Amino acid sequence: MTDTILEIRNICKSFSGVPVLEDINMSIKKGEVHVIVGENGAGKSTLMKIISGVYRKDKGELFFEGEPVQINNVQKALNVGIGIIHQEFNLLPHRTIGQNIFLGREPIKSNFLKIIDHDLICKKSKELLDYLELDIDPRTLVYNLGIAQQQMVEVAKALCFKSKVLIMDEPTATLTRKETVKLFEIIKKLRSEGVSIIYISHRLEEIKQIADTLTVLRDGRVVGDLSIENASIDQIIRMMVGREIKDQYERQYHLHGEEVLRTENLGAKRFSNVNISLHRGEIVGLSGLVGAGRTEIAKTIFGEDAIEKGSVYIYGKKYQRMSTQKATRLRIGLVPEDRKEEGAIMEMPIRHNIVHAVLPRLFKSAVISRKTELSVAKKYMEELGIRAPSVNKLVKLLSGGNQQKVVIAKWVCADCEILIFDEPTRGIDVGAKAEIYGIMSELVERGKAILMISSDLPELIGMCDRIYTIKDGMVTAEFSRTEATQEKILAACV
Amino acid sequence: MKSNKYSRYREITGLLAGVAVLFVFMSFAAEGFFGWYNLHNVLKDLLILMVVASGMTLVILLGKIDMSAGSVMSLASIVTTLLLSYGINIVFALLGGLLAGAIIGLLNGYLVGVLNLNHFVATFATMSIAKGLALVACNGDIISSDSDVLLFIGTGKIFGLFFIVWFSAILLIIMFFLSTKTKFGYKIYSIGGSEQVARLSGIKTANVYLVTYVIAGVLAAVGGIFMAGKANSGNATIGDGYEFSVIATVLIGGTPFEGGKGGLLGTLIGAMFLAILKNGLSMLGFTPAWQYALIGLAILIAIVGDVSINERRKAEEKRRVGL
Amino acid sequence: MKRIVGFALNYYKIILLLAILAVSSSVTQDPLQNIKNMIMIQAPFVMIYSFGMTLAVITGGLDLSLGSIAAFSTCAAAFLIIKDQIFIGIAACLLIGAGLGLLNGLLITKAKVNPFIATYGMDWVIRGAVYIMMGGAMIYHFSSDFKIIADGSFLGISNLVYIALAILAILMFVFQKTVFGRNVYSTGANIKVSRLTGVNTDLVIVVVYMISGVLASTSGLLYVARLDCAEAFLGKNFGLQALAATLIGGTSLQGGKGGVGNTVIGVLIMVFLMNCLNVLKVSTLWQDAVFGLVIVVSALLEMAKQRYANYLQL
Repeated sequence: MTDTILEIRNICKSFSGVPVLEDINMSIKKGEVHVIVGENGAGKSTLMKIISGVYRKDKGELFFEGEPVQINNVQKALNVGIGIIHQEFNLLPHRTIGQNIFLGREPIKSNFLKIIDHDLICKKSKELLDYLELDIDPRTLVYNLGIAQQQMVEVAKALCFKSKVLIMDEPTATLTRKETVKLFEIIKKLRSEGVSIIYISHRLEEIKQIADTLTVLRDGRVVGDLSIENASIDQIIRMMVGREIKDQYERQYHLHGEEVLRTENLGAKRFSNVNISLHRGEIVGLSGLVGAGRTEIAKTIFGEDAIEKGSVYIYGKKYQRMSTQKATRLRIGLVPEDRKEEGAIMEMPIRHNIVHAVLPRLFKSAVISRKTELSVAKKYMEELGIRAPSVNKLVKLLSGGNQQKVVIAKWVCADCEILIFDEPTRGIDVGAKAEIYGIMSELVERGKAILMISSDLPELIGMCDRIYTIKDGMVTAEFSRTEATQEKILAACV
Repeated sequence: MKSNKYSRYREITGLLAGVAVLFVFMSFAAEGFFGWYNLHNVLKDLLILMVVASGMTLVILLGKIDMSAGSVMSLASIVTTLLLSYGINIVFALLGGLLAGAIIGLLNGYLVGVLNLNHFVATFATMSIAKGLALVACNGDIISSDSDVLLFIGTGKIFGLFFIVWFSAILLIIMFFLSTKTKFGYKIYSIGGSEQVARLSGIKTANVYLVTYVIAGVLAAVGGIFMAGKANSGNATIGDGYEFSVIATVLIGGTPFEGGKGGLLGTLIGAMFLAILKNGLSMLGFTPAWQYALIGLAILIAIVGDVSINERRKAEEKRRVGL
Repeated sequence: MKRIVGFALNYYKIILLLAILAVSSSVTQDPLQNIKNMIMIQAPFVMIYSFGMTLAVITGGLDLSLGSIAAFSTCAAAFLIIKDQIFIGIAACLLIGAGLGLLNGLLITKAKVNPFIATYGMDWVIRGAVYIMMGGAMIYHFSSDFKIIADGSFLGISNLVYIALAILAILMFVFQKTVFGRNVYSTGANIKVSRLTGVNTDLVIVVVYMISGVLASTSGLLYVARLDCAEAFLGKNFGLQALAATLIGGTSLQGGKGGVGNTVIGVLIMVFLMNCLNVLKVSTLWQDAVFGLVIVVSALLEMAKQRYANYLQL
């Protein structure tokens, strides 16, 4: 087959034992826009990073124009003709557009002194920018550009390598509608010139506009290859969701108690006018795409980020300023998304981490009794089922699931009334996931209140009493347990 | 559309205005400040500071620091005069001084760029190593030299201007050229902007660190030799604390610790500021102790200002990029 | 081989200590007297200000202003002590130390200046202030009531040793046994987690720098009492020597590890090393270079140790 430019065969990849990609097969044709969709964590970005040489694959082969290729690093991928525009930009803000486009392979005037040919950079950059229909001086600092323009500079950078395959990882995530239209025009232009584009997106409404073919990923597997003419949005959503809600989520639903947390027109960095409430004995979910502002809402309630507008009511009392100290004193606990950097202190033993939050209350005299500390730590280690030889083991030596349980134990030990779980089961194996669900169910049965952020829809629907959907920093809908379906939630998020 | 480099121009003109105000103030307030004899000396001190600071600028552009600059000056002055006292030819004596600077620079580059030690602590350690070696070499004494050439380097004039002025001007033009026009200069800015992005673009970062620290070491050695020339003697305390002035010069000139932006032009203005301040304070009759404290305070304020401005700018940048 | 490397990396401090001791003892006439001298008279001073450095390093920073804090606070206090207001003088000295430490802490937490630059800058400014205050003069001939603090002995052991041990005991207790101490370690190990667990990390850091300041002025005071002279140049080498002792003692620059106990060994290594060079008739001018080398070597050892630990895990 001559028109296949990139063929992916049997690619596998796992991170610390957890498989992320299993047996991926895909072929990209010359001059097509190939869209890859899937939920958060389906493995799209990982696959792209393997193709572009950022990660190494565990198994499998890549064929470029029919020839097998080994792509070990970014440089190699670029030389072959595969360019990538990452989700997070790789631009230097205080250099000019031209300097960024030619970063690391600037043309030089003479070989002896290695003087950069600045005029040539300007000229060539200008040509590229013209091609992208961008009327900017290539000597402008990237710092002064808007997001859309930065995106275009990334495109120019990739084009400058004469990429035959251009990967775009959620390029429209930060663009406005108008800018998106512009980007699509460029994509079509590139396609007409024979460049293949691998396009990753969450936004299903876009897909119809630009895709030629479509691959759906779910849980690290390809679940379907479609040609765009015979695919409907509903069908795509069904394929993305796929997994049925099983009974690993054992919840007993009781009447809810008093309201413990409410936000009133809360606004801060990246979100505004958020009104949510939380009662004793219930789990409330926040659903949304990565970057929709879920984590920021949680961190603002917890006092890590400053409240800019509105207020938070905790146990009915109004707060317009929060701090993490105030939050912990009010018995709020945060199980953060990034447990290695924000959740537990990896270089310290389990027991230190478990009693960390309760220290001032446990030892009123300020003197730590080793005996009490040990017994408390042991008690919670057993209660939460943390599997470790002793409480003195360093947290960094535990598995992901057990590390997460240590973080939860810290807050359970501090007797928190309000718990915020941010992606509590990410990167954790199935068994530990079920245990964490069990812990959460037990906590709400004891009258605690839980705010849960998750990208895993089945888990969210299985666990929550109510779910708010967040899009672009705004609450777009609220679903009760009975009305929530994966399709409805996804539709409100994208 | 915003005009390119607009903010940098504004920053530079702002700095220049500050220098002008200081200059006018000193001219009126400090007797003996405004006059060719004094200003010529200010120019000389300014350029010595600038030569050392231009090496430091490259290091800070990389997002690192070189605490050893002052000690390298002392070491170079000692090595040069010591070699002279052994009757070695002046050319080799000077080369010896420069070599000493290059070796300390190489050590810095190796510790920081290859072994990835904390750059503050690594260069702080080489600072005391260089200082210690200087002290040991001269046995704690001042080494006087009877070399006319060294004296000429420090105090001689060509066409009415000090040799230092001519030499530094040429050196600075080369440095300016190196940092803005060559591939090497581009690499420095890229690594300082983001080491990760630079590495993803295929830049061998360790080499750049090594070369930059060597350049910084050699330039500090040049500064030390100038100092030795001024007094026609070597002294192990010549550069004590000088690194602090040099770092402040760079920061005042608008090259922040985070690296990747700023440049030598700003540093030149920073050097003007500091040189005029130093000279003016002594002309105003402040005792050396007061000068020491006041300049230290000015430097600390500059540093705190630099940090707080950058914190704010970073917060704003985050908002713009939407991260 | 693996075992030997592991052993060497775990016990290098003791090995180093013994090796240095062996060298110096083989040269001196009266090794026991020599060791007694080092431990009784030289080590206590170094220990007290090195503790300050160690605490700052545990929080993930460092304190290079120890020397000038010692000079400033003792010189200021000397004006009182020379007029026989000993207790007020001592109190003032410690208060000034705490105040300067407070400034350091605020620069680091509120102004967010890198600890290295903040304390190095403070060192410069404070030293300038001492020069202004003293104007080149010295204060000497203190009353014997004051000098006895450093000169006196009890049961044949110098007061200095008791003072150093008392401070060591207090610090060990505070930093190993109390909630505050635990928070210091957790802040140093991961400031973000600590803040997200409700620890007032800014306060923790500020208090640590205040303690560090107090320790600097304490050792400064003891120097003044011992030398019977307060002068502006006091403590020029404190920061450098304390950093060397702390790092060779095994407190890591990454923060959250090590402790004042380690620093006791670090200080002994440094004092023995200096003494060893002394008896070997190596010029004291080598001091600076040796301090620098010790810092580099201990940073490299620390790195080797970590690599080895990673290697064992794999």
